[in-house]
Amino acid sequence: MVELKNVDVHYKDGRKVDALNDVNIRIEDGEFVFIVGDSGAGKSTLLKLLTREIVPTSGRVFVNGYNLSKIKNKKIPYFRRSIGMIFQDLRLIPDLNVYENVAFVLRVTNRPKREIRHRVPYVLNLVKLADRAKMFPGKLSGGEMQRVAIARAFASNPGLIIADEPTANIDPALSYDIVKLLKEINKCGTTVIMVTHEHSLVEYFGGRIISLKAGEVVFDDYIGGTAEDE
Amino acid sequence: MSNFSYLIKQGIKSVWRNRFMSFAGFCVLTVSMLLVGLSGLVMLDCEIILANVSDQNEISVYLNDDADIEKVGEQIKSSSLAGSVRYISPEDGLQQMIESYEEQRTLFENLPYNPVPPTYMVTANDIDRISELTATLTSIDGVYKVNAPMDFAKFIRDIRTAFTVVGLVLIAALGTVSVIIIANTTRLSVFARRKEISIMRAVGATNGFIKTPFFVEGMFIGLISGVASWLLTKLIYERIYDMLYSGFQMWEALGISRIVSFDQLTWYVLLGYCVLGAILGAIGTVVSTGKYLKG
Repeated sequence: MVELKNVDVHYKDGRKVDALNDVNIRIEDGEFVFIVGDSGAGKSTLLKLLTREIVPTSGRVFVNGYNLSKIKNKKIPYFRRSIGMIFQDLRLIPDLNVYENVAFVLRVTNRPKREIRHRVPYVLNLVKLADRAKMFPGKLSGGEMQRVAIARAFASNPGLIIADEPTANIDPALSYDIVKLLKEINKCGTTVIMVTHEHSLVEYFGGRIISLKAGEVVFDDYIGGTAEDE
Repeated sequence: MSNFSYLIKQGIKSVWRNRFMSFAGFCVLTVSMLLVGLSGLVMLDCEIILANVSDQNEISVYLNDDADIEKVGEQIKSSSLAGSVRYISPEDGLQQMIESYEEQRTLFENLPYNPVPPTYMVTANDIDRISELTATLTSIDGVYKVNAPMDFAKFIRDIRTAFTVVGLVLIAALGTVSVIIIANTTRLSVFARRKEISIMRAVGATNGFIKTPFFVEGMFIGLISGVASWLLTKLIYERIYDMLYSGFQMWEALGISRIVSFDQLTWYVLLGYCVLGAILGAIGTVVSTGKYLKG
């Protein structure tokens, strides 16, 4: 469960910047939520709050049972193990092959070798990259690299996946496949929060949409997508 | 691959990945430790030489003609500050004088009486406390004069102090330079692996896990530098040792026993270098990762 209660984030960068103003959001376990908004709307600040890169100026943030406003520094790594992160710039390690890139997150969180041997082929199969396991990121297409990033985020079987503009750097046609893949992962019970500025995707898939504008939530509701009509 | 071997492998891979900076760190650390090590060995040799010179540094205790020689001797020996105590009878003393001043032999032999008093030659256990010993010896009943080479003792003390100060300054300065170089090497490694580190942090790797490969890297460079310093020290020191002892017997002539040979110290030196290298490497890593991997 993700909950933000009366959250304000103000930066002091020469002048005072109100990045988020009195934001209240509650996302239940198993939901799929699109977060949309223009540049400067507060999307990045919201993601930083959810991953505990920053703390709110005021208000409270709860993610997966952790109170992020009060969490101790020592506990932060253990909190982060409960979420899967898909970065806009992918951040695949170029000198590790696909299998190793996915195994990497399990290895750095001290997962047993046996679990790594079982889990990595499973997630690679899920994202349909089993036959690319030994290839290096440089040899993959944009869509394939994005799927590796998704496999990596899902490898530790987190309760929550946060995807920061996962379709920003790929062919628009492939964007639909990526969201479909995230929807499939969501069906496994994982909560998915996807930040995007592509309105066509949101309109196509529908579901719960949270729209931010100038640091405030201006829309938070469910819409029907055109995909449902197909 | 276990996590431990993964971390070790990452650390060693990092050394290769930043090979130019690692090599720079290795060179500076090797030269620094070499200079520190050689200074240490010179200081050790100086200590040995000074201890030998101190042994030669005898205090002459002249007794009254009617003094109880044995009693005075016992009183001298009872002082904890006194080292060796040697008695020279007036006859032996005169004989020594005649041998020292051979050209004046006739003059000494024709003296109407023996002017040399009964004498004890006493060495100081601790050259720093020679004045204290002199005062003790002067106060003994039957002693009429004590000749202590105070200037020589001071000279020896000054030399030892100078070597200690220079050695410590050298250790501090070169140690600092080494730490700075290692810190910069590690900083480059942190920069080269920034993507990996950002992923590690995002997925919940602990700071300890993230820092371990950098520790391995710093300590590995330190250990390799330690072995290299040991080899160079062995080469240089053995060359100097051979030069000093080939051809002439200068040390024996001065009454000084040989300086320490490298074979006697080889394992201590190797261990010392490796420990020092690993510590300097680790400190360098702490300095850089502490600053760049906060939070």
